Amino acid sequence: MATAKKAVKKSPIKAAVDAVAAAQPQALPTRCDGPEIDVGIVPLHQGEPVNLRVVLCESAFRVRVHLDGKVIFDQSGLKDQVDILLPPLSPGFHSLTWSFLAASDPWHTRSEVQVSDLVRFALNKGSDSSVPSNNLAVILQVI
Amino acid sequence: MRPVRHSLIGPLAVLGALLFSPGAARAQSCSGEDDVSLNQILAEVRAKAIAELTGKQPLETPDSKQITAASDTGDATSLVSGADIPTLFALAAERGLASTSDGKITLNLSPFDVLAALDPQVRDRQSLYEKHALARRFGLSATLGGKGDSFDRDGDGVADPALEAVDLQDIVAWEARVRLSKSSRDRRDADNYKTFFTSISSAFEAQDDRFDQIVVSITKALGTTNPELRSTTNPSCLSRSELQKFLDRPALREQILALAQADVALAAKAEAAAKEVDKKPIWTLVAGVLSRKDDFGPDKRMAAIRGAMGGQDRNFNLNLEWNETDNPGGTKPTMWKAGLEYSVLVLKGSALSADGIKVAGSGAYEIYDNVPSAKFDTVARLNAKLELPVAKGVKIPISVTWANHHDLIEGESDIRGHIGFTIDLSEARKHFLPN
Repeated sequence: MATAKKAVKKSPIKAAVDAVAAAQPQALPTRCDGPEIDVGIVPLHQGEPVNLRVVLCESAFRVRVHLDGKVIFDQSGLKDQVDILLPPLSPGFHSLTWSFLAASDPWHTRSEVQVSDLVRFALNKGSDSSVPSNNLAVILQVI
Repeated sequence: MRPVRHSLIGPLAVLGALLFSPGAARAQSCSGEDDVSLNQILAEVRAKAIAELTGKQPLETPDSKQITAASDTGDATSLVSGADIPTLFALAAERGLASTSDGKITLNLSPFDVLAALDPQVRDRQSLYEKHALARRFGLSATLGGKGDSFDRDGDGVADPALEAVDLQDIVAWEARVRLSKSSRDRRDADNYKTFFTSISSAFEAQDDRFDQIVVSITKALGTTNPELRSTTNPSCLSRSELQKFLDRPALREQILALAQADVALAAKAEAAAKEVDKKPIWTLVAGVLSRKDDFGPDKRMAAIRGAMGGQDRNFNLNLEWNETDNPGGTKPTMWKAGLEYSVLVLKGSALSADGIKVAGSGAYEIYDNVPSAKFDTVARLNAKLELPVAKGVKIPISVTWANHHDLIEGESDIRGHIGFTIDLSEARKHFLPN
């Protein structure tokens, strides 16, 4: 004997509450996302242009860059993105370090070392770091 | 044998480097196992050094994995599938504009949040965020649903139970907010981030310089005395074991410890700078309307000015509020409230109390006009509180309250006339007389 089940219709407010509770806020990709290439040494030919790009998301930043132990860039209140073209490099090994300081949480960054416009190093960082600043580094080997 | 092997590393590495250059398309991250990048190894040694310094467990290396782009899984709400009301609410929730709690739905209609939902770049890009500073001073929300009032609906002289909202428009609470003060506590606002960067400038530079010194030491060694630091299997990476040996040298250990100290100092400075920003005065004007169908109770309106300033050491709050309830055919019940609260931390760092003694004073004045449930037409209260430390973590709270009607004094143990007193010794008794 089949029993006909009568569907209980939800009240409009209950239907709306359930729809909101079931919906998940969407996490859209940002400019600070992308594939990573975290290498220790970036080889390049002498004369090739080297650009350090730091993409800055969700905060104002201070960025400080050292090349071979000397500060070559230091600016605060930076927004959106900064590109630092390195001076010509002699053959041998060169240390490149950069640090960024975010004014607020959350924050995200994407750092890229571009050699002749090709991304040879890329790393994304976010505010889940243990210190309020992040320091990154790569060794450039000029051949 | 060993020097011979090392002597081969240099030419092989250069050959590898030439083969790899400019192979961006083939480049991959170092594995983090035998082959490491500077960032991988330095994050590890640094976390250990901070843990040694602070006695805390090392924090995990920040996860720098790529955040997967939200793909079209088919689960996302689509307008095409039917633009009914629940679907529209779900769409708003996906964009962070709707939330639910206790069977109610709150729609966030604040101009900046709506802008950010339509164009996420507004939140992502600092330049756009600053451009919309004015929009962030306004807030608007609507809360739908909930429970009405218990009152006599059928005229039998007995209050009927409160009804739950069924339709979306049964109970709607609107609230609008305007930040009157231009200054904010948002660290993304230009005034605040300038203050923040200035206050921690030297601590940041010290930390950055120490980090750089370590990398300079590794780079110099790699190019001169220690070519074995380069991985033999992946010329774009460093050898974990060789680099670890190098970093274990006393001179490098000292540099790493100095970096950890700078990290801790910077974190402390940043926290203090953030607290300064949080002391900024904020004045807000709030207006609200509670709109209900007849079965759920009368409509209500309210307006308030709220002020807050100061931080943990010195805090001030003010609230002025007006409420009015509809009463068809009769005089509308109206209520005015004024409240003021001030607290200050005194003798901080003294022999009496390292954390300081909190002294607080508050006052409230309320006027009720045609409010049937109100016992008095006016209510005035003044209160002073002090928390006297007698041992670590043990305080004796002392409180004095005055009210314009003696039965308004609540929470005091001894009442004489219009004044109530409390000296709470229970914590101290537990501490000094545990049995």
